[in-house]
Amino acid sequence: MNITITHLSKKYGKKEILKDINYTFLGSNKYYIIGENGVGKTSLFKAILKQVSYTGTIEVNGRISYQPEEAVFPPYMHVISFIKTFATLTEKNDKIDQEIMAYLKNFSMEKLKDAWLGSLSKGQKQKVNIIQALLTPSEILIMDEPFSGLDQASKAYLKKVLDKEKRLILVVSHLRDEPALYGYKIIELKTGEMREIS
Amino acid sequence: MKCVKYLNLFKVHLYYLITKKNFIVILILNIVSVVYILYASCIFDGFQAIDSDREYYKQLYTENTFFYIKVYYVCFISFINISFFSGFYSKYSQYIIRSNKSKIVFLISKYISIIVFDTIELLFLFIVFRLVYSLMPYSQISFEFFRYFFNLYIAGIFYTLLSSLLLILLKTYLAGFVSIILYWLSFASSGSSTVTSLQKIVLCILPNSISDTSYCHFIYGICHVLLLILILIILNTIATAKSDLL
Repeated sequence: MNITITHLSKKYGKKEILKDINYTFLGSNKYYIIGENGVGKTSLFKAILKQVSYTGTIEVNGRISYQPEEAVFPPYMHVISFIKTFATLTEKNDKIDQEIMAYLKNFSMEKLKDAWLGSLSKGQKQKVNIIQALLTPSEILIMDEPFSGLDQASKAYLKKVLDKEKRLILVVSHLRDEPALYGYKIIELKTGEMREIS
Repeated sequence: MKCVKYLNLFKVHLYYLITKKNFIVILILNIVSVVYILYASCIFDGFQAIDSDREYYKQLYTENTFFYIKVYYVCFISFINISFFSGFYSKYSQYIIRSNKSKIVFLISKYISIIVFDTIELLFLFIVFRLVYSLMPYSQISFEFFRYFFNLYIAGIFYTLLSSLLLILLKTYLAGFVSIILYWLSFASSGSSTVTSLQKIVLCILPNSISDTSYCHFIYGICHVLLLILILIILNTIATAKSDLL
């Protein structure tokens, strides 16, 4: 499982967001991609996910599970039904109910398992968004601003979960001081260029 | 297991369709259609006394109601299609990634779920129309009645397939409107046979084949497209305002 990016460039109109990027995200490493707003972090993810056009090549070896920055949910679907449906779409999982309940409990969402997605607050939706991404069977996990909108306890729990993950993880944030920053390879996106920093 | 997976996929599509806005639009369309059918039958009832003109007014009523149902049905499936297209890049691209499914699988399941929606809606309309029709004295259910609904249904399926193909080709919101225009031109401009109407449009576009009849159909079709888009914009505005209030 790896993602190899060669000569990746992305333009919006005349503005070049990503300039000739070459990088390989390897094995079960964890990467933290940081940068100011508008430097192309989400564009980079969208290019990896083949959701935007670009020049250059991106080779993805493995299935991707994605947590978008802003999820759009079907408003009249129950929380548990939504997570379970997506978590079992590609692979059978006999323990899925227990796994979902464990995540819901740790994210303090246990009582909301039968709530409609449309009735949740922004923070609660973010938690569903994260749980769904964590439970989708994949070899690569891509998370766009996962800590945004979470309370401190949930941030700490998410960091713990990500630390235990064996998948290739790419986390994006515009903040440098998020909890998952420590122990990750840090990639900085600046003026369309990408570099690894210590 | 595979069957369950596809059922799940289909389930999610239906859930994405169930929104307050869609509900309000469909409710308005349904109320208007029932009121219209009843109103038209009342008018027809008024002419029952004149025995000699009974057949004529019966035919008039049937034709008018059939025409209305056609207009209504196009509005309905256009709205359902647009509600899919408008959110394609925001919600459905996420959805494809989330489910690790290809765009083709996604489109096929979308197509099936729209057809299910269309079928339910047309069945509802069929039952209402059938009930009103059977209440009227001297009414007889002819073969034409069933054929009309069947043609409408086939045209709806054809239109939905066309929309899905256009989505692959154009990949934009524009696909929704282009498919409505094609559908309206092909179906609503004349008769109930989609193929025949399409031929007329092709004949109309070719310079050597312009005839008065095909030209009229073309203009007629354009006017209806504009009317349909206007209806959809109004419905969309009302539904957005109402769903914000709820």
